[in-house]
Amino acid sequence: MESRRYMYFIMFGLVAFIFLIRLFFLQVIDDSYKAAAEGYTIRRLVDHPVRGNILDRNGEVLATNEFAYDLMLIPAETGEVDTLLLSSLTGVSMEDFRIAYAKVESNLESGQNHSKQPQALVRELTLKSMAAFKEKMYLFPGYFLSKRSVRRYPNPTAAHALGYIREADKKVIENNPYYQAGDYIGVAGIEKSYEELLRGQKGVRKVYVDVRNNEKGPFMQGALDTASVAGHDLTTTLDLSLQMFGEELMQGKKGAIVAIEPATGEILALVSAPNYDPNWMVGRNLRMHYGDLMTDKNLPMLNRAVMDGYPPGSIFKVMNALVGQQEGVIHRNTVVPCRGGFRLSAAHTVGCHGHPDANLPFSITTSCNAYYCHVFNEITKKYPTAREGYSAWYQRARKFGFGTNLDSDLPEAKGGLLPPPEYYDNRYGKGRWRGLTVISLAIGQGELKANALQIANLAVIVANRGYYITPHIGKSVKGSSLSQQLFKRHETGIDTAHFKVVYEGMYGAVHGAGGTARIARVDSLTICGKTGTAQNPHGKDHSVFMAFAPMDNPKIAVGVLVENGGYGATWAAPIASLMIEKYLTDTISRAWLHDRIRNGVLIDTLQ
Amino acid sequence: MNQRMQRERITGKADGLLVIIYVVLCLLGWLHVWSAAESQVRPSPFDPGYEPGKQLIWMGICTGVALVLMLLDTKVFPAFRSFAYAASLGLLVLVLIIGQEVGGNKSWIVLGSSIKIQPSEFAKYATALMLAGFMSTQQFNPRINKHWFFVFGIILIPAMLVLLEKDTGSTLVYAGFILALFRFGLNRALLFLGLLVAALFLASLFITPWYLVLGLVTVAALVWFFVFRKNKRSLWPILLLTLALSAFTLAGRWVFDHVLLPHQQTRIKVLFNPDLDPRGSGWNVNNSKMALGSGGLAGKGFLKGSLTQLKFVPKQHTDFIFSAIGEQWGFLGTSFVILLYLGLLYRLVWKAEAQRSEFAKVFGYLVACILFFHFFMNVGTTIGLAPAVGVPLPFVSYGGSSLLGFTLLLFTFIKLDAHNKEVLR
Repeated sequence: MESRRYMYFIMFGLVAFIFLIRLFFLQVIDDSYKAAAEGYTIRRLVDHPVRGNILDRNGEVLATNEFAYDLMLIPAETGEVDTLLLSSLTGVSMEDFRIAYAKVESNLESGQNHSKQPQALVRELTLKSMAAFKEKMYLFPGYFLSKRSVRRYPNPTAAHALGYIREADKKVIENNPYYQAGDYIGVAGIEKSYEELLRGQKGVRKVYVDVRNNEKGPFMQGALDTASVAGHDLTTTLDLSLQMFGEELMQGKKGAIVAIEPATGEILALVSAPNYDPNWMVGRNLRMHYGDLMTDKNLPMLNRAVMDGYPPGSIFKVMNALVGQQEGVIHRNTVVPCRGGFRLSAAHTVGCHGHPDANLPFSITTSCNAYYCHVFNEITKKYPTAREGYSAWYQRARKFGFGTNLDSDLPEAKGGLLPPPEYYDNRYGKGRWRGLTVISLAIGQGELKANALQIANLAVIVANRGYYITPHIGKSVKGSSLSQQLFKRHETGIDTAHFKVVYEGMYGAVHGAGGTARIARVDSLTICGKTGTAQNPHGKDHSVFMAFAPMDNPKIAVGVLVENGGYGATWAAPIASLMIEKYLTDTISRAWLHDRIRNGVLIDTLQ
Repeated sequence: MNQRMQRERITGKADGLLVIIYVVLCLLGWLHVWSAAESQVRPSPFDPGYEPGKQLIWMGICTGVALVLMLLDTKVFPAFRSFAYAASLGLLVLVLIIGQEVGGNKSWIVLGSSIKIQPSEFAKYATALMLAGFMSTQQFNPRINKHWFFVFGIILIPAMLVLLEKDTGSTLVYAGFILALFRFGLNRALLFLGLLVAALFLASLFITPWYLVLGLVTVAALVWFFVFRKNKRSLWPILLLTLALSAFTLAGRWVFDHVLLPHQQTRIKVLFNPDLDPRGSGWNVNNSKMALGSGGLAGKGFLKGSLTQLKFVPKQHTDFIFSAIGEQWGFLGTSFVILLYLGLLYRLVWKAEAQRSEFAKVFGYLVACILFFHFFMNVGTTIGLAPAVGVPLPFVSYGGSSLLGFTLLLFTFIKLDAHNKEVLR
C-alpha cells in the first residue's frame, strides 16, 4: 500500500503536465485567439463627416443636414432576437424588418459585406424610437445605433440643379476605396460634381465595446484614429427667389429655363419642368416616391435644361446673322427679297410669312426665313466646295457652344447635335450634298438639337458682343477654391462690330413694329429677344425664346424652351420677360401675364 | 503555557510551504476577483459593498479560523466528526427546504441581506472528518467489503443531498474522496472500471452502441484467452462484467437522452463542440478560451485584459477566475498557478505519508484529493478539457463559503501535521 503514494504523484503530475501543454498551445502557439479577441472587443467606428451645405448666391440655404440614427447590426454577433420586441421598440413594421433582414442576408451572400462588418438594418429611426431602443439595446447583442447626418433641402426647389446623394453601390465601392457599403455619394447635379468638396473626409475610430455593446474608451489611446473633416460649404450662382419664380412659371408645363449673368457665366436659375421636391430623394422618402418618379410619363427626373434638346428654331438665325457678317457674305444693308419664302427649286420653297423685304436688323426682328437661307447658301457657295463652306460654318457654330456640353459643372449636361461634315458624308455620300441639301440648318431646324442652356448661352454671347464665360453653377467654396476652368473666357471669333445690328434686330423683335416678341416688352426695361419655334414631328411645336437685358450693360440672359408651347411668343417669350423683370426690378408689373403663365397647363399634371 | 510557547504552537510547527502557498493563492484570488468584478465601474478593492472587499473580509475571517484551528487540541477533530457530519447533513436537508436559488442551484441559505452561505462547502469538511475518523479506527479493515460499503455510504449521503440541490459540480467533487480511498486499500480495478464506464458513456454519444458492444466482446475474449485462460474461475466474472458493460453501453444513450437534464446534456455536448451553442453553454467556454489565448506568453498586464475588463467572460470572478489570470499574465501567469497547485498537492501527499496518526494520514489524502479534483474540474473547464460543471478554484475563486470550507480542510491538516512534528520531537 505504501507504494501507492506514487500513483498520486503521477496522477497529479500528469494532469498538471497536460494542462501546461494545453495552455502553452492555447496561449503561446495559437495566434487565432488574439485576433478573435480583438474582433470581439474592438469595434471600428466610422465617423461620417457632416456634408457641406449648398447655398445660393445670396447665402440662402439650398441644402443642409439633419441628424438621424440608423439601426446597425453585425451579423456575426447577433443571435436569435425578438423581432416582435424590436419592431415595437423602433416602430418599424415586421414586414419592413423582414425585407431589411433579407437585404442583409443577400449582402452577405453576394459577398458585398462580410459577417463581422456592421450593416445598416433600418435607416433613419425617429428620435423617439431611437430613445426607446437605446434603453433595451443590451437585449440585442450585435445591434447598435449609428448617428449620421442626412440631407435636408429647406426649400423644395432646384431639384435638378442640386441633384441627389445615394448609398454607394457595388461598382462605386469596387472602383473607389474611399467608399464602403452604406456610405453616401452624390450621383447627380451639384451633389455629384462637387462630391469631393462636399463630402469631407471620413474619420475612423477604434473603440473597445463591452459585452453589452457599450463603448468603453479608445483602443490604443486613439493612436490609430483619424478625425473626420467636415465637408466644405459650397456657394452656388443660383438666385433662390429667381429659381423659385421660374419653377412657378413652369408649373403645369414641360420645358426649361436657364438664366445666366452674361459678364460672369454664372447660372442664376436652372429650371426643368416638371420637377420634384429634392427631399424625395432622401432616405425613407425615397421609397415612397421613387417608383412614381420613375414611372411618370412626363419624366420629372430628366433635367430638361441640359438634355440633348430639340431643334432650336429661329433663335439660330441670330448666330447665322453673325457668322454671315464675319464671312463677309452680308452686311447691315444687304436686303434679301422675301416674297413668301426661299425657292430651293421649282418644286420646293422654304416658306416665310408675309412681311416687307428686310435688311439685316429687320430680318431678325421679323425672323425672315428666306433671308437666312440666303445667308447660309452664300456661305457655302463662298468656298470652292460646299463641304468646305459647310465646314467653315460648322467650326464657327461650334465656337458658339452648339454641339458641345459647354464644359459646365452640370454633370448631366449634353451637347445636343450640331452635325459635323462627316455626318452628311455618311448620310448622302461624299461630294453628293450641297448647301441647299442642309438648308434647314439656316433657320435652326433639321438635324440640329440644342438645349435651354445652349440657347441662354447664345444670348450671353450676343450680350457680351462675342464671347462667353463657361456657364457654371459653383461660385465659391469656403476654405478651398474651384477649378479656374469654370471661369474660362471663350471667344467666338466674331468681330464686336457685327453685334450692333443683332442688338438692333433683337431690340426690334421686342420693341419695334413687326417684332415677333412684342409680348415680352416691359416698359421700364430694354429687352433684346429672339423667338423660335422648334418643329416637332410628334406633336405641337416647341416654343423657344432667348433674351438679354438691359441693352446697355446686360445683367441677365435667358433661354426658355416650352415643349408643345407653339410659337415662341406664346409661352417662352412671356416667361423670359417675366424672369428678366423679376431679376432686374424684383417686381412684376403685369399681374395678368404672370397669372396667365402661372396657371397655364400644357401637360397632364402628375397623376 | 507562556506566550512564546503559544506563538510557537500557532506558527512554529505549521508547515511553512503549505501556509505560503495558501497565502499566495488567496492574495492572487483577491486581486483577480477585483480585476474581474462584475460591476460596471471598478470599485475600490477594499469597498465591502463589492466582491473584492467582501472577499477580503472572508480572508480575514479565514485567518481567524486558521488561528483558532492551530490553538485547538488535535483530539477535537476525530471527536467532533460525528457531530459535524450530522450537523452538515442537517444543513443540507434544511437548504432543500428553505434554500434560495442562485444561478440555477438551490444551494444557498440566505442570512440577512448580504450574507449567503452554501452548506455543501462545509459538508465536504465534515465528510472528510467523518471518513478519516471511520477509516482510522481499529475495526476498519480494507479487506472487508462491508466496511467499504460504509465508507461509500458516508460519501454518497451528502453527495446525493447536494445532487438534489441541482448542484452537479459540487456532487462530482465528492468523487475526489473516492480517489483518496485507493491509497487505503480500495481495489484499483474499481478505478479502472470507473474510467472505463465514463469512457464508454462518452463514446456511446458518438458511436453506434452496437459497434461498441462488438468491440467490448472482442476485447474481453482476447483478454480472457491470453491472460486468464488457465484460470477456470475467471471465466464467469469476465463474462458477467462484459455483459454488464454491454448493457450499460446500450443504455448509455438512453440515459443521456432521458435521465440527464437538457442543460447537463449541452454541457457535455459543448465540451466536444464549443461552437454548438456559441451564445449559450459554449459562450462561457469560448470566451474563457479566448481570454486565455489572447493573453499570449506574458499577458496584457494587470487590469488591462480587454475581455476581462469588458465583462466578456460570465462568472469570471467565480468559476472562470483562471481565465482572468491567463489574460492578464499570459502563459507565465497560468503556469505559475499550476505549479503552485502542483506544489501544494505534492506537499500534502508528502506530508500525509509522514503522519504517524492514521487519522491525520487519511485526512491528508482526502484534502489533497478534494483539492485536486476541484483544480482538475475548474482549470479543465476553463481551458475546454472538462465539461462546464461549475466548481470553484480553491482559495482563488470568489466566494466566502468555499474559501472557509477549504481553509478548514487545509488548516485542520496543517494542525494535525504540526502536532505530528511536536510528538516526534
